[in-house]
Amino acid sequence: MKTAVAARIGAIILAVQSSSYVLACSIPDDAGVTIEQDGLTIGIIWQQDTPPIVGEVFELNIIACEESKPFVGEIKASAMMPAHNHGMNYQPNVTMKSPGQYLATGFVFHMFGTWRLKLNIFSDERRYDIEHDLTL
Amino acid sequence: MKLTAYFCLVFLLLWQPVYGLEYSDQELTMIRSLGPWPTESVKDPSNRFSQQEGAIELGRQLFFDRRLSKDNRFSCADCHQPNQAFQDSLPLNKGFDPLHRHTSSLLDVGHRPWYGWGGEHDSLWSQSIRPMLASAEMHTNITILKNTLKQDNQFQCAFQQVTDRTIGSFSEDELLITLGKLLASYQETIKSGSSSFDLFRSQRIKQSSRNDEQYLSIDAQKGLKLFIGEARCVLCHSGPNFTNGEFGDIGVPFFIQNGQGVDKGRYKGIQALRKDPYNLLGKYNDDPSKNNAVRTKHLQLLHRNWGEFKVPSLRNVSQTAPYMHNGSVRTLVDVIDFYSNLDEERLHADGEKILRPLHLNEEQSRSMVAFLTSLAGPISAATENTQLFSRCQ
Repeated sequence: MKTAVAARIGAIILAVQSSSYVLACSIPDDAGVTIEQDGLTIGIIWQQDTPPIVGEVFELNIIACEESKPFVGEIKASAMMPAHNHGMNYQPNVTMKSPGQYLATGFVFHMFGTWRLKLNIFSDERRYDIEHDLTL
Repeated sequence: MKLTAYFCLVFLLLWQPVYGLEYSDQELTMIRSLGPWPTESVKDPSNRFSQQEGAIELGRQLFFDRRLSKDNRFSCADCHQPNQAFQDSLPLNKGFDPLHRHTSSLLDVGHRPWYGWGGEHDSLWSQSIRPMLASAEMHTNITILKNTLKQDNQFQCAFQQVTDRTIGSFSEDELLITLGKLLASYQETIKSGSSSFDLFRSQRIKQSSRNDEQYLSIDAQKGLKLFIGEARCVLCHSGPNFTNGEFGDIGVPFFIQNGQGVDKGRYKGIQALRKDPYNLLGKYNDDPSKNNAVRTKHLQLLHRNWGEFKVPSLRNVSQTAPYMHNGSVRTLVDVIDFYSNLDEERLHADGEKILRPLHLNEEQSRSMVAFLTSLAGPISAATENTQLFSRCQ
C-alpha cells in the first residue's frame, strides 16, 4: 500500500517536473536587461522596476531560458567595478523560485561608476558565464 | 556732468549680471544626488522605542548620566559633547585607559548601515552598548548599575512608564539592551539642518542659476566642481549624507601609537560584528521580518578589508576636527593636503585604485575647504521634556 502511494507521489512529481520542462520560456517585456549567449537567454528584472541606486540594498529577478525552455540549474552572482578593480562588500545569494525563475538577493553597489554584473549559470551539462555592464 | 556720464558708461560696460558657474548635465546629476537635506526621520524597526517621545526623553537623561560608567566617572556626553558637534575635538580621548580611535561625531547618526570606525555594529542601539562594556571607556558593571537605577525612584518610575516593566523584572542582559535602545532613541534626534550647499542645490534643481552665489560663494562652487569632478571625492562621499556608508583604505597608518599593535579596521570589525550577540541577525532585533539584516547576512570578509576604515559623513565637517580614525589630521586644510600628497606606493600595495594624489594648488585647496565649510547646517537635538514624567516627581 505504502509503495503504491509513494509511486503515485513520485509519478505526480515527475509529471509536474516534466510539464515545467516543456513549458515555453520567454523573457517578459518588463525585463530591464535581456542577454543572449549560446542559446541561453537571460532576462533581469530590477526590484521595483528601477535600476540599482548607489548604496542601497537591491535584489533582482532572473529569468533564464535555454533553447526557449526554462533553465534548471544553479546560478552564482557577483559584481565588480572594472575601473577600480574591486567588487562588492556583500555576497549575493541566488535561489530558484521555479524552473527558469531565480531570485538574487544581497546586492549593494556602493559607488558611482560602471559595475559589471557577473552570472555563472550552470547545470550538469552546460555552463554559461554572463557579464553585463551597468553605469550608475 | 561729463564726469558722471563717463562713470555711468564705465559702470554699464563693466557691469554684468552674475549667473554663477556653469554646470554640465553630469555635474548637475551629481549635485542632485547630494540631497535633499535634511532627510525625513524614519523609525528604526530594530528598536521598539525608536521615535517614542518618552524613550527619547529617558534616553536623553541617560546620555548625560555618569552613573552609566564605573565609579560614576563618564557620561556619553563627556566625549560626545553637544557644544562640540557631539564629538570631543581631541585626536584621541582617554577613558579609564587611552583610546586608539578618534571619537566620532553623533550628528545624523540614525539609520546608518554600520557603526564604529570598523563597522563593528549594525544598529545604533548595539553601538550604544559598546562603550558601556569597553573597559577603557565607561567600563559599566551592569549588576551595580541595575541596583543603582532600581534605588532611584524617579528614574524607576519613568523607566516603567516607557517600558511597561519595572527595572527589577529585567535580566541584566535585557536591561543593557533596553538602555542601548533608549540611548539610541535620543541619538536619532541629533541632526544637522539645511546648509548653504543645500540652499544652493535647491536653487540649482529649480534650474535657476541667477544669483546662486548668494548661497554658495564662487570659491565654494569651484570646490564643489572639484569634489564631484577631478578629485572624485564623491565616489565615496556620496548621497545626501556625503558618505556611501562603507569603508576604505586611504593610506592612513594603521599602527597604533606607542607600539600597541595594529588597528585592522574593517577586517576586525566584520569579525566582531559576526560574534556580536546583539547584531541584527539575533533575537534582540525588534523587527521579526529581519528585513533590516540583509546587509549583515550578505556581508563578506575580504582580505582588502584589512586597514579599511569607515567613510565618514561630511555634514558639518568643519566643526568636527580633528580627522581620520586615529585623529591624526588636525584641520580641514591638512585633510586636503593629505589627499593632495597621498603616498602612491602605499596605496598601490593595499589601497583602492580609485585613489591618486590630487596635487591641488593653493587656490584649489582653498576652494575645496570653502566647499566643505559650506556643508555646515544648524545642529539640533531633543531637549529636556521632563513634564512627560511629571507623575514621577
